[in-house]
Amino acid sequence: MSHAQLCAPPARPAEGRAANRWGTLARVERGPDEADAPRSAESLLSDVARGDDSAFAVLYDTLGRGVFGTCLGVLRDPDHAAEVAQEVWVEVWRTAARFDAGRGSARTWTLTLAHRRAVDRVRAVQAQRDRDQRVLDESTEREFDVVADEVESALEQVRVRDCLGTLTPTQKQAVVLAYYGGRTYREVAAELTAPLPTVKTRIRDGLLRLRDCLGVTS
Amino acid sequence: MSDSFSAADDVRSLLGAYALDAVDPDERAAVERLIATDPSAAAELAQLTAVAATLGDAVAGEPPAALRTSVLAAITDVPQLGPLAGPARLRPGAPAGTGPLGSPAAVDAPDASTAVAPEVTHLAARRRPSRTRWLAVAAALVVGAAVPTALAVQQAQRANQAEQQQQALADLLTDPSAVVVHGDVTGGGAATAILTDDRALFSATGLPDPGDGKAYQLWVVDADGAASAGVLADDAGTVRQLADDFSTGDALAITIEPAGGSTQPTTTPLVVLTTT
Repeated sequence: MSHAQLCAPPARPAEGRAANRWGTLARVERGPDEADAPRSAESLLSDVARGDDSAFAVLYDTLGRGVFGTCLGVLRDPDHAAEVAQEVWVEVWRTAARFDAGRGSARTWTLTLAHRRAVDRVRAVQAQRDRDQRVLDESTEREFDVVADEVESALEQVRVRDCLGTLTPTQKQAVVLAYYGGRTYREVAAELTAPLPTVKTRIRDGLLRLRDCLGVTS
Repeated sequence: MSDSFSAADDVRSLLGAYALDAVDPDERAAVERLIATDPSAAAELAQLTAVAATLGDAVAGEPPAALRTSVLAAITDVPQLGPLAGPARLRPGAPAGTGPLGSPAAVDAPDASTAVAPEVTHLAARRRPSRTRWLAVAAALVVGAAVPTALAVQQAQRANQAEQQQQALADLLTDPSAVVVHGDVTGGGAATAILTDDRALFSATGLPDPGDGKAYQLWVVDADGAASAGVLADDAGTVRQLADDFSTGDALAITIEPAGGSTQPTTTPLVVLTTT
């Protein structure tokens, strides 16, 4: 029997993704001071680095929404977000010793990892599609308007939503497409038919404006 | 690095895009060199990274309850890495002047040893193995497969039930090259396989009786053809088999063969599982 014959029945039919991209849009207001819970994420993470799995469980309870939200923001699909979140948490466990509290918050460290993994996933899926040369599914070819609308409606923190509103439309477009859309700035530039330096500047200026609006220090 | 990123100002203009994981590998490396030598750039990046984290944090989404269980179970046999050696640690998000300068290789965050940063945009094509890669790749495949049970959480739980193969599974799941693939079996049943660089575990459930004097047989298929990976012991429609002669790019397939097995497939395969 030939190889071609063996490959005859396609094991992977055309994709179809859940229409419910965001899941439940819980609008639970959460203050910015979650880290002031009984134990700081930094302290927990340092125990995690020593193999303390009960500290890890508390850390999960502290940052679990943030990690999942970060993944969901990029991936849209709750199932995929859960998969990547799991991957992120295993990585947090594994690399906790490499967190340095002197160089940023544990929350930022963890969510940075989550975003990177989520973006990896988006690009892996994209690469898979490209390899398959499939017609791009409209539902995942996320135009800016779609990304922006979904993001807006899913942001539970009014403060962040309001601050995004202080960006110029072009800054916001670039930041949203890059962060939530998982695009590189080159892809953003291509999509918006804007020059590369312009897009770099929009992203950076947009983030700096967000920083000022949110009062983020580091 | 290429000349186009040699000027500090050019690189500095990438800080925002870097903080959003929106740069390509060359640019990422250039930024990391910059922040290793420029405290003010490092300070700015620290702030931009914190802003970016806020964007993700603000998304509403209650993680599924099963995720917590699954995460806590998953870490039990995952070894932890030690701190990065020496004073070379510096992550994006690092405030200025908080440490001596590191080599570019040690600069990635949060984990230089498994950093996928330089390969991000080419992830599917070439990516250094990481412990968690199988999840990402499996998910990419699952997306393509439209398998309803896409949750890796469920995969893990299902895997845990495979007691006979539990150790083999544990080994496979921690194999940095492992990917999980699914497929429906023609005639009934569902197949799942964990594929690594050098072996594969095939399992299927809900298989109909192959018929008197018949058996399911597993094949490792490469460009040269099919090689038997054994006749499958059928336990009420559930089969599991480890294929040792598997390598990257090969496919697994099952066919119905005479009970003693065949040297080559004699019937049309009922399922083919591959990563490519």
